[in-house]
Amino acid sequence: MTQEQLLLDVHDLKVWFPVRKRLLSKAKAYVRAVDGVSFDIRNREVFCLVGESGCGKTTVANTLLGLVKATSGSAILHQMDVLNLPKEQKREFRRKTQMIFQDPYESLNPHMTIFDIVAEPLDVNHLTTHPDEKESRVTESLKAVGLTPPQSFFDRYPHQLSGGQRQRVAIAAALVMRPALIVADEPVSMLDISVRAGILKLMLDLRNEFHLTYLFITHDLATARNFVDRVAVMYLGRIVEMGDTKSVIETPLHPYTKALISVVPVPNPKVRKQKILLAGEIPSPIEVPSGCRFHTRCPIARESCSKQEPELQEVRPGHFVACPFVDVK
Amino acid sequence: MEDTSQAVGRLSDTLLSVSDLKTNFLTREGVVQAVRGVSFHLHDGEVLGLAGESGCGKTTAALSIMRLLPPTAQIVNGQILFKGKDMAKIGEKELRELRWKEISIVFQGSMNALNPVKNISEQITEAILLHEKVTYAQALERTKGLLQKVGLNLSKLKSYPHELSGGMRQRVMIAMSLACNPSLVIADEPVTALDVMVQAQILKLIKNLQSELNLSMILITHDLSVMADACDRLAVMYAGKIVEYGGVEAIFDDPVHPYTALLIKAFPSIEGPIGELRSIPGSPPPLLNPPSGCGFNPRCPRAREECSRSEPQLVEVGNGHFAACESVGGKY
Repeated sequence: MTQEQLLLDVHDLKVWFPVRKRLLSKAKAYVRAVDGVSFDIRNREVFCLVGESGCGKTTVANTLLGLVKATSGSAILHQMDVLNLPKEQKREFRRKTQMIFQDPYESLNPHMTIFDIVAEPLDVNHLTTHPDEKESRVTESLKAVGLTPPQSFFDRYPHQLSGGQRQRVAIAAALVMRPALIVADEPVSMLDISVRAGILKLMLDLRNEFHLTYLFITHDLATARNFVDRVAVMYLGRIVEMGDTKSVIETPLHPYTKALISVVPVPNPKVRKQKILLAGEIPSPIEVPSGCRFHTRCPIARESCSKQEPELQEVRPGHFVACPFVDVK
Repeated sequence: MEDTSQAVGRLSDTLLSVSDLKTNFLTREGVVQAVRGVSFHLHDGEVLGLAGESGCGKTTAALSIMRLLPPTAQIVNGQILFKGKDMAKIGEKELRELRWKEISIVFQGSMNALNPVKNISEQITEAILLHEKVTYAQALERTKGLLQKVGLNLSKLKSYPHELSGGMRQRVMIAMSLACNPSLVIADEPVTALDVMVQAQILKLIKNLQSELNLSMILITHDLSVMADACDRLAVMYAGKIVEYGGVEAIFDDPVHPYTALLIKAFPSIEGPIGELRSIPGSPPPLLNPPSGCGFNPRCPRAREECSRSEPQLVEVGNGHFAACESVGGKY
């Protein structure tokens, strides 16, 4: 892959949170939220981290945004390691990376008008000097997310908008910075089904118009299948399978991915899938099982699985699996 | 696979029959008509789904059955016949005897629905002791049996809700709903907040218990794929009314109401061809002074001028399959 195609290269990222008995005592143990994650995101693609709650997908996103400190590893974006940025580069990086959160009822300040919400990132980063320029950029952003005519939204407050419109405002506030990468953490999970497709379609349209790249975080495999280019499935802080969405979802190889996909309910009463129900729940990230961390619940586990931690192997072009016993046909 | 219409025909005993239910909320802005004339019935041993998006009135309709509404809400019209008694009219005392012993409920947020300062054993035995004349020892024995039935280890007996995972708490909620052997269980988004693997475990448990105990259930969810998996019949609600009602396979095979058809198209699937997901432009009408005519007409691709004037009634379009749309009522 040439440098031009690659936008972000994450290598062996670890994020451990210390568990202390008392405020100042030494850490007794660590929550290994992210425990050796590597992936890359190509320019203008939608890359998705998918997994159940507690798998570390949101921690990866927050670490890349600088909201959580990484324990080790690197993440290279435009020749900068975003995990260890000197102060002056931090501001530039923040401009290039924007985020969209899950709940547009919580993420927008209820006391601010839509104009101020969208203009705030410009003010904070001192990007516009002239009020006219500010207004034109806010107008452009609101128009791009389909809130038209933009002027009619300027003086409204979040509570006057529907859930879908609020999420559009959140996207406009990200877009106004003209970012290269947008991190979207469950951007449609709180919205009603009938408006979800509209928001996802908007995000894809904006990708083409503004040359955006997305890191998309979700637990919803059905949405991921319909929306993203590549997907990485996480389990207990590590990626167990990664590849093109079609390849991973239609022909999953890792036993965890297979089970996860088999239990997604299908909106068709005639389809009765063979479900692979895993017993129990995800182990605690404080006491991660030895070897392959999935071996305690794995239907094909062997004795050796508890000893050696498997690495991601490319088993098909672009399709990686962290299990030595997968059946590749 | 079982044909749902046959299942309905076989179990013809009607357990619950709701007709023209209207429930209002009194707010500072005025009267919000959350449920605007809802009728359905439930057979013995059947699972009926109430589907719809937020604000469509599905939860209010279900809570009206148990009269568990907040003080600002009021049932203003309709009959709720349960085993020959009108739940809308009976007195507090009689109501208390029916609640939990005859009709119980599983809430969505099991963290909020359970008492945080009482352990699991205390909460379930309390429910039993409150409704039945049994000794504490008997109640405790039954609690242990219930926990085993829902797949919880007895070591969790003395655990507090915060010590359990979301899936385990939902199992406790289910055990509690079965504590007094009710004939009807209302489950309000029982798997919505759970991860997909835990969701599958809980759905399987609910389905097993339902057939083992021959329970009748009303399952409320916005998730059509859960409905497809778990229900016999389905009622799709929009703006406080049922717009389509019938066997679950008939509705998914041949959705008649434009809203149902669009909602199914908007739902992403992990199976089958990847079609373009369609959203439904616009938003539901305000239920504070709702507009006249069909509630869906401002968003409906098939809307005609008449739709804003006349209010469509549910019309039978197939065997036990009803839809409320002027375009299928034979008028046009």
